[in-house]
Amino acid sequence: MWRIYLVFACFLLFGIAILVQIFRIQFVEGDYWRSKADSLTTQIRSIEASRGNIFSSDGSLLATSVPIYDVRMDLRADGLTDEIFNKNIDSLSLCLSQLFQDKSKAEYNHDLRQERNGGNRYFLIQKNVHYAELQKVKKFPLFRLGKYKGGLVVEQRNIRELPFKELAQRTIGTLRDVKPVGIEAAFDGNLQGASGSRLMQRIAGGVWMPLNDKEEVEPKDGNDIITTIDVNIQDVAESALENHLRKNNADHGCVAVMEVATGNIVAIANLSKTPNDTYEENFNYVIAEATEPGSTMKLASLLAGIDDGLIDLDETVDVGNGYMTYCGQPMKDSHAPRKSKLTVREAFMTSSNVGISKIVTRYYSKHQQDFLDKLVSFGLNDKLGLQIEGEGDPRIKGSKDKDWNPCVSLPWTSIGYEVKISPLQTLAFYNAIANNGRMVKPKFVKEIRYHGQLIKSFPTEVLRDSIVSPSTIAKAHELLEAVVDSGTGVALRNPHYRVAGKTGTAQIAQPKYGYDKSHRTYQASFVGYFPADHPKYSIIAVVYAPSTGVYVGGAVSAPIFKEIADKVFSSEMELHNELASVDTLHKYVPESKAGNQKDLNKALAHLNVNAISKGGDASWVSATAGDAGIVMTERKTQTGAVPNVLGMGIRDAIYLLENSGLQVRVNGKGSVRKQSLDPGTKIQRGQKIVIELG
Amino acid sequence: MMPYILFLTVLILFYIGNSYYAERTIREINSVKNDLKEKRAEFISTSSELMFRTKQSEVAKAIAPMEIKESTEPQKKITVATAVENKD
Repeated sequence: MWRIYLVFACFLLFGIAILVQIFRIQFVEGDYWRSKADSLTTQIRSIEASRGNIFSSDGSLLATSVPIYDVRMDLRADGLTDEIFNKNIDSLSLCLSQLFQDKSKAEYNHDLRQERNGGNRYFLIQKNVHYAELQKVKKFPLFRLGKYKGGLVVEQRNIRELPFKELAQRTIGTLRDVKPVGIEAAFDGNLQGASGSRLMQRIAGGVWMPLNDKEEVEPKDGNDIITTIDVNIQDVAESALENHLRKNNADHGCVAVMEVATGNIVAIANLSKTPNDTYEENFNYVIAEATEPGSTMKLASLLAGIDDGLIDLDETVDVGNGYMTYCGQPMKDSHAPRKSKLTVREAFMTSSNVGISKIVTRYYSKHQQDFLDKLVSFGLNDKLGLQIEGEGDPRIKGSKDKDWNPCVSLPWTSIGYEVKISPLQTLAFYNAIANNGRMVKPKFVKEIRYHGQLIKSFPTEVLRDSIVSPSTIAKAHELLEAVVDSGTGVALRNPHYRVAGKTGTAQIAQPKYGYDKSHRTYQASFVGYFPADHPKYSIIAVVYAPSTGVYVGGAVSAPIFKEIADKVFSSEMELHNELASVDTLHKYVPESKAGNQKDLNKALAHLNVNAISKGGDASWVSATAGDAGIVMTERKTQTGAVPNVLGMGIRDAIYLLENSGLQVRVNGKGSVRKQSLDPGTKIQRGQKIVIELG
Repeated sequence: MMPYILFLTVLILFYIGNSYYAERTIREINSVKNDLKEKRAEFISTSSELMFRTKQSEVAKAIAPMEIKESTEPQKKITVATAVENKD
């Protein structure tokens, strides 16, 4: 009996031990174990917010995030046996080599075998694989066996894709660690969004399941940026620029197109030559490269004088033979003037350096600072304060500056040397002229949207309400139109619309050589606006260091302007006047065939067309369309002679010809254009006549 | 007593089933999300290819061999006056 109790006692002790242990785990160590379980199966995981897109003004996608993949291989995957590996390795190598074209089949084969022997579980096969390529990779031999047998490891990252490739690339910009640029950098805070976080539990299959949690933070996607860029104009501008840079074998060039009233930059292109002779967007010259502008500055110089009431467009200036010196410094015109006495207007039209500098020094040599103050009042010495970084520093010297030479600096400043200004700053000035004196800030981004909903819009910012008086503006228009009508910009004259603008050619001082003749570098530019009477767009085109020898602004940069303006003008509906309406309903007098007068009268009366008979009651008449109606004149017929059937229908023609005893052959249809026997010639019976209808 | 226990059992079964159903839905959501991501990537890469090829300059290049050039003739604009309502 006692044995039974012994067994019972053992079992009882055992049971109590279990209960004690349960109690301990549950209550004493409970918190520790629970938290440990949680940390293995539940986690606060961050939810990535997607970065906003950048759109053009018409809604085309300029930049967006797309996944890109790094393809790696686990060469020691559990299911990857020697048998499977050896069977597939050759065909896999072949496929990889064909798809990526970077290594030969043998190289892939060798690398893969070597890495397998080395036990690499994370061998990089290819970086930055696009989605479409990845789909192919997944179907390759070995890889199609799945993760555990085939060892394919795919890692996804997001990169920014620019669907239009290099279009406005530099302005759209990139985010990178060193010096991020463009809209992408300037609006990073908006585009970025905020990632969220959420408590999640791991369930079978490595899937994370969200748990209800009050701390959950929803991710907020980045805002979309709507730029002012018009893809079509941008495309036209970029390709026009590239064509002409190539043609002139230039080092670099840039183009910007701005909407006059709003300051919207609808196109901006910057191209520079790469060592292998292609052109790429590498630097935002339009906004960043402040250089000596050359002749495009002459407009500002004249406007300063005109606005101060000093210079009159019709006063004359003696340019001699286009050569003179200021304190020994030679100044000459690029083309010898046709006559030695020019009006100010002519000096501007032909871009005479001597003429402009002479007229400016005539009035300002004693008050040099007044002239400079005037230029500064045009905003030419101020940064524009753009939405994107990197704007070049403009500079207009002051007469008290150390590098101001009282004898030389004034004349050279007046023709655009000894000053610095970026292409966009020049464009903003000309745009202000086109906009009747109102200077607006160039703008790249017009709206910020979140899932299509407007968050913020950027209205047009007025920098200066009126840079000069209205009467000065009128003169500026006159000057710029004259340049194109009969000056250095005649290449832009065309029958469809008027352009106003100014050519500019500047020698660029080289850091090493200064203005030394044998190392001359030129900058050819054209800046202007169109259509001249109601300006819609202003454009600047600058080509640097054209090396083919044709370096004049009118010859190098004006064609770029023209190509863009032509295409924009021909495709923009709102730039056109409607066709004058022509009343085709009431006054219309139709063409009529010649024929029998009675029949014609009847037909015309039926059609309500006025019939004017000038042939009395002749039975056969010619019919011509007059202003008031069909005019009918008699057509005489003579017996025995070939009748005139020109202009008649086939029925009348055959009737007349056969009645006079001819045999008729007919070609074509319509009314008679030709008859093989001349009217009035004598008929021989049974003679043949061929009539051609058309 | 018995019906109550039965009721609880049914409730527990339903609860378990429901949680499995939820997990399955989440898996589906995940795989659909991945699909969506891939489809989006495909959409963007194909549509960007399309956008690139339909650019005016690319089209001009493509048809240059056929000797078709871009027109610089301005378009003609015809405005249709809205018809005056007939009041009889």
